[in-house]
Amino acid sequence: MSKAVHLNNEVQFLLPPSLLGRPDVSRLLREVEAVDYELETQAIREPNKPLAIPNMSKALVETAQVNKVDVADINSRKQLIAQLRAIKEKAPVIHITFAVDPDPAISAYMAAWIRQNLHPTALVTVGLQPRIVGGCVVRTPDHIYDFSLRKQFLDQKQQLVAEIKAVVGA
Amino acid sequence: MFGKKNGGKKDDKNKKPQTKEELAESYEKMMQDDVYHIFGKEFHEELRNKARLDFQKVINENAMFLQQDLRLTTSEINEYLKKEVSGKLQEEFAAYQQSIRDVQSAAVESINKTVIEAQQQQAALNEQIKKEVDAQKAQIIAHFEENMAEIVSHYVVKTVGQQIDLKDQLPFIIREMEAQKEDMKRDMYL
Repeated sequence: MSKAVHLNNEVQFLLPPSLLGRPDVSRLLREVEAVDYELETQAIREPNKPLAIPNMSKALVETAQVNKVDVADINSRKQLIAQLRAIKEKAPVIHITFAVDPDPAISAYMAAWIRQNLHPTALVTVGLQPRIVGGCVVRTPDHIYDFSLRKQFLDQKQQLVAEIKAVVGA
Repeated sequence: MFGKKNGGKKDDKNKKPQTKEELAESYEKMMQDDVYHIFGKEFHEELRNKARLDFQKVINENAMFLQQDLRLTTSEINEYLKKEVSGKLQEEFAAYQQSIRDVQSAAVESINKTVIEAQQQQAALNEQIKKEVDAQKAQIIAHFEENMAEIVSHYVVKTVGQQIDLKDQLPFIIREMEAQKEDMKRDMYL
């Protein structure tokens, strides 16, 4: 049994990288609630029989693994549900805009980096804006950080103009 | 006539008196010779003829003098007229030439003034055109510079936008995020 399912900062709850935004958390929460309901039902119907764990999604399995949660334990499940609800309602959301649609591995990598360096339960949403050419634009709850190639072009505009002028001879 | 009466002096009688003194002398002599002779018709006729001739002569002389005077006067008048007309013409020509010179001078002055004004206007126009061209050029350059990044971005997106691998950009993105990590972290805990 794991003692990781806490948001009281003694043991920090961790989200797996494959779990990105609030919809993923909501989906996971519904699944956990469904599993909890199923296992509770089993326990009531046949208290003496061992619980048959239903099939779980990859996200739920990973979440359980990283937080060392025993799904069969009712208290752990209740704590997991509580943590997921708290995350769904309170966790900070960070929005990342890419020039092209990122594949899941990239999104997961970014989510992992954010949760490791910025906030452990930060939720990540991904957007698409081809005008930024490359890089990304990160929007936190309070700021917008432009790491795009377009911003680089704008910052280097004077140099570009100077070089063009030098070539043209103006 | 006189010769018939004074036969002894045939040469003197045939000789015609030339001057008044000679004539008066001849008449006086005739009176001394024959005082009645002066009352005769012949003498009267002779006097009449003589007077007619003298009168004719005087008339002819006067006519000649008159003709000479007339010619002289005509000549003088011609000369005077010629001189006057010539003088007048000279004055008129001089005035005409002066007026032509004045008009010419005024025309030249006007042309010069017009040329100067045209040159000034041309210079002002050139200056204005230059200013406008410079302003337009500066505006185009400013517009170009202003939209340079957009142009380059658009060009890059159109050229290699779909070929830029996001995986290759990750080190750049992570490096940038690392640089802003503390600020971003602070935002997350607000």
